[in-house]
Amino acid sequence: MTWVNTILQGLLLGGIFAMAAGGLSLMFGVMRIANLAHGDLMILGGYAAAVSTLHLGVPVPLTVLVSMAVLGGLGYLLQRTLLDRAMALSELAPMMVTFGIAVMIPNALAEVFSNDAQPLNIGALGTASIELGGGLAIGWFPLLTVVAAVLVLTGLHLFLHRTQIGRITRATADDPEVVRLMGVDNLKIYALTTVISLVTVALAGTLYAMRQGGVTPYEGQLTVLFAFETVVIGGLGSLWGTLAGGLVLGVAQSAGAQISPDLPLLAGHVVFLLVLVFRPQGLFGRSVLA
Amino acid sequence: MQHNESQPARRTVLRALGFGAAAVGAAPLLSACAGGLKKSGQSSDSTIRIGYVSPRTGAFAAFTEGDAYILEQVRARFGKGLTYGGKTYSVEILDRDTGSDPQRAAGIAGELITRHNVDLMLATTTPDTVHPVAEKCESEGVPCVSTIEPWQAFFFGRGGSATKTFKYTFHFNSGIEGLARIETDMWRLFDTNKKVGVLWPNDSDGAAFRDKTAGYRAQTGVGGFTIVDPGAYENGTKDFSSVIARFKEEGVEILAGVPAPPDFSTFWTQASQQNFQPKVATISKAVLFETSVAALPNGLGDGLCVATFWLPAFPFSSTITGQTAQQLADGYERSPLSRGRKWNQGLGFNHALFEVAQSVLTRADPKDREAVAECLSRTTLDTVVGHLTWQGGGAANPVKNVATTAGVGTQWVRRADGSFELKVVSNSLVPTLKLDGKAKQL
Repeated sequence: MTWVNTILQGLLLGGIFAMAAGGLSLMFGVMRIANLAHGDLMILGGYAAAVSTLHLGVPVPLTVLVSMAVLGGLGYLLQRTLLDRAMALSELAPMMVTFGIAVMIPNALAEVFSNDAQPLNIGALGTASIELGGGLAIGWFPLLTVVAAVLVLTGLHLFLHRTQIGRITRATADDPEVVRLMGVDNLKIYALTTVISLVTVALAGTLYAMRQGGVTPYEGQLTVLFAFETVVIGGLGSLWGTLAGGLVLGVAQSAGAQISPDLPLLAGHVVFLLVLVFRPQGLFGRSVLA
Repeated sequence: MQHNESQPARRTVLRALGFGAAAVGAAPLLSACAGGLKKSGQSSDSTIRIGYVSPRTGAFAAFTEGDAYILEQVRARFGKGLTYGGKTYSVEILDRDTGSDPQRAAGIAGELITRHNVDLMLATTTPDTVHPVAEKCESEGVPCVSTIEPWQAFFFGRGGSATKTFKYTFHFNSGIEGLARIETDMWRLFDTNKKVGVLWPNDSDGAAFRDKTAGYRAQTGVGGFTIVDPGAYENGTKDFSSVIARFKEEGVEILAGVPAPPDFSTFWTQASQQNFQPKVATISKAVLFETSVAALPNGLGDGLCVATFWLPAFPFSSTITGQTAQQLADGYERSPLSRGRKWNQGLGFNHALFEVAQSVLTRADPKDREAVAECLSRTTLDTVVGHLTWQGGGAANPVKNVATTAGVGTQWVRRADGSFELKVVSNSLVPTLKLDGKAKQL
């Protein structure tokens, strides 16, 4: 029963990782940008939600839309003003830009909102759980997060594979030069990708803030590590892989914790390294987004 | 240069006076400290420079929110100068922000010492700022006073021992023994099975608590309780199911620990989801501030207990401004420099740093670093955080470089409007502070 609980809680945890990693996977798949600011953008999304309800009186369930709009808009500006130029410079430049953003976001948040937690309270839902008998209980909110992760990743998958613009996006990922020969403005595709990516980041950040009851400026830095591990375990550029990667990482951490509380992060890292050594393309990986 | 030549003579006189005062047992507050005759470490101008190194930004900035207000008050007072031995020195306070980064703290300390030639260093808040600054001061021979870090971490964490003490670096703060005393007092307020589940993370705080000889379990008062330690979890752990399962299995009724705020939020939410409900929870660090308590999901902060080492109701006052603790807190909250924020414990402690500075710089030749350091080791002062003494040993002065402060047991209680207030529920270390009522079960 203990191990059933471990795996169950690990899967719920994995949902959070998958949720956080979706946008990262997409941006990397299309533009080869390793977005180091991913975790901090997630926290920024949490702030957008918390601040909109605290200061503008937006009802808590709707804050997620505010957050998506804010980060989506920010994503557009980011891509157009900074990342496009950085991509033209060199392969490494966009990563350095995102690194700079990762430093600026938490410090700016602390300067404006102080280090205090900005509450985002979802009331009884935050602590409600389903009894499964035998001492097993799973929280409603973690369950909702897993469902949201599956929906987001499914949605992205359908978008990329079943729509015209999705096909163009995949083509751009494969070869931006050729796509331009076909009359497609690849920069527009890049902007769209970043916007979509940041909208999912906003959702992840809002769910994270709701889960924690609030958000503080410096929480994003560990999240980005988990998100990267998730993407790599699952396979770069594969959205189903991202989901699987999240679940594998979650169960690995949970199982590590069951053995000893100081092991979860190590167990996660070990699984990550094993994947890198024995299956470097990841569980579902192909070399390019498909 | 004229006054320089006359200095040793004057100091000798004062030293004689100082000895005389000590001999007749006069109030230590008034006794001048002896100045050394050594020329080393002396500078000769008529401005005292005080370095103040604090994390104004970054992860620990909450503790230094009051800095702008404190500095304004202190600069106004020190603007009149500080007088030692009949000579009035003007005072310059050089305040620097570490960004909560130890490397930057070391760099700042080095710059303050070599470029600005500070006469006294003040440092505050966590080993990340205090240790690099204190290390620099100890090696360069600059007197340093620090606070807001458990004293065991300051002293033993920097290699201090019964035989190895520090010459230039001094500290005041409570320690694990004070915290354990206050927390066990609160545990005893409830009828429990005395099983205590602890959250001691895999970081310096957690390690200090877990330490077999000097840690939590070694403290008197903890003896009657069974500690259930599930192990050192990593900061940033997102799933505490295994810890919760262990606590439930062992029938834990008391929760204690030093988790980081986001981790405690994760733990406490999951505990509620998975039906782990202790009768009392004494949590350090994670629930120090009202905002972090209010941010716990679904009002889960209600009833959490925390040891508090300074609050406005404390029956102490400042030797700089004469304000009581209450007046200091009120003054801060009314000041535009508070930007509408409430007092927190850092306000009292950081203010007290300057009280110690004022005391030593008027009792020892401020331009003689050795004399100032020597004076610090013989300082006793009643500050806004209470009685501090670096002499006499005992609980108040457990090792040479440390003065301890007292605290009380407090509980967060949710008001009808959803805000939280901090109620004093146990006061054995500060009996003059009256209780706000009886502690309620979680």
